[in-house]
Amino acid sequence: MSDDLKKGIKVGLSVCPTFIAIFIGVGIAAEVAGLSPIITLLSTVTMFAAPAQFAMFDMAERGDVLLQVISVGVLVNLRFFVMSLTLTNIFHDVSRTRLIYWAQFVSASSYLLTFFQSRRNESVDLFDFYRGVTFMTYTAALVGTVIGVAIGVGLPALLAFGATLFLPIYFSLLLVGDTRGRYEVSAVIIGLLFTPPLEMALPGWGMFITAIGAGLVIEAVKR
Amino acid sequence: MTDLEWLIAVCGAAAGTYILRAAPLLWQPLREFGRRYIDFLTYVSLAIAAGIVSKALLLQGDRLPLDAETYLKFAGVLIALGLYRWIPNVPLALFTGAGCAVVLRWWFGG
Repeated sequence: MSDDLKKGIKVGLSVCPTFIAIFIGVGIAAEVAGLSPIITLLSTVTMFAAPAQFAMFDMAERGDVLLQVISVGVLVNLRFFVMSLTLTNIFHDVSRTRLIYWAQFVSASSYLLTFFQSRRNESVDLFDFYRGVTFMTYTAALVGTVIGVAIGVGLPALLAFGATLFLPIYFSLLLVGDTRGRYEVSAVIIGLLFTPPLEMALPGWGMFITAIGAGLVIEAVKR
Repeated sequence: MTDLEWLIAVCGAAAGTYILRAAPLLWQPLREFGRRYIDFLTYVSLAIAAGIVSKALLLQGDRLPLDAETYLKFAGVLIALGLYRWIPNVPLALFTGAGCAVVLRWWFGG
C-alpha cells in the first residue's frame, strides 16, 4: 500500500462519521418507502449518491411512475458531471482502464478532498490519494446503510447530531486554509450565501446552480 | 412499487449516474474542456464546498429552522476554526469542534 493511498485513507477517515450518519438516513428512508433490505443496499452499492436516493424514495412514496423516479435519480446527480470535469485536470496521466472503474466512486467528498490536496505544493500521487479517500467514504456509506436498515429510527439523537457535524466543520477548515485571492473568496461567499435559499426553492438543485452561477459570474467579472 | 420495479429504478438511475461520473474522465472532448476552463471549475469547486457547509449548518431537509440546534452547529464550527487558528491541526480542531457542539447540546437538554 503506497503512502499516498494511506494518506487518502487518513483524510477520508475525517468525513466517515458524516457519511455514516447520512447513509443511516438513507437506510431509514428506504425502510419507510418499503424497499427490501437487499434493494436498499444495492442502491447504495450502485448509486453511492444519498441525495438522489432520498429523492427516489420520496417520489416512490408519493406514487410517481418508474420513469420519473429514474429520471429524478439521474438529474439530481448532474453535479457529478462537473466534479468529474474538474478531476480531468487532476487525473490527466491516469489510464482510461483505471478511470473506468474508479469513476464510479466520484462523490462530493472524494472529489473535493482530492481537489484541495491538488492545490498544495506536495509531491503526492493524487489518484492513489483519491482511491484512499474513496475507500473510506464508500465503506462508510455501506456501513451507514446497513445500520439504517437494521436499527431504523432507533439511533440516539445526540449521536446523530454529532455525526452530521464532521463534514461541515472539515470543509470549513479546508476552505479557511486553502482559499486564495479575491476571486476564490468571492466563490466561497457566493456558495455560503446562496446555496441555502436556492436549495429551499429547488431541493437537490440549489448547490449545483449556485456553484455554476458563481463560476460564471466570477469569470464574467474577470473579463 | 414492487421489488422488480425498484430493481429497475435503481439500476436505471445507477447507469445514468455512472455515465455522468465517467463521461468527463473518459471522453476526450470533455477532458479538453476541463483543461481549458480550469479557473471556472476551481470557482465552482470552492462554491460547492462552501455550499455544503452552509447547507449542513442551516438546512434540515429543505427547511430553514434557525433553532437551537442550528446555533449549536455554528458554535461547533466557530470553536473548530478558532482552535485551528491557534493550533493548526485539522483532526484536533475537527474533533474538538464536533465534541463541544455535542456536549453543549447535551448540557442544554438535547
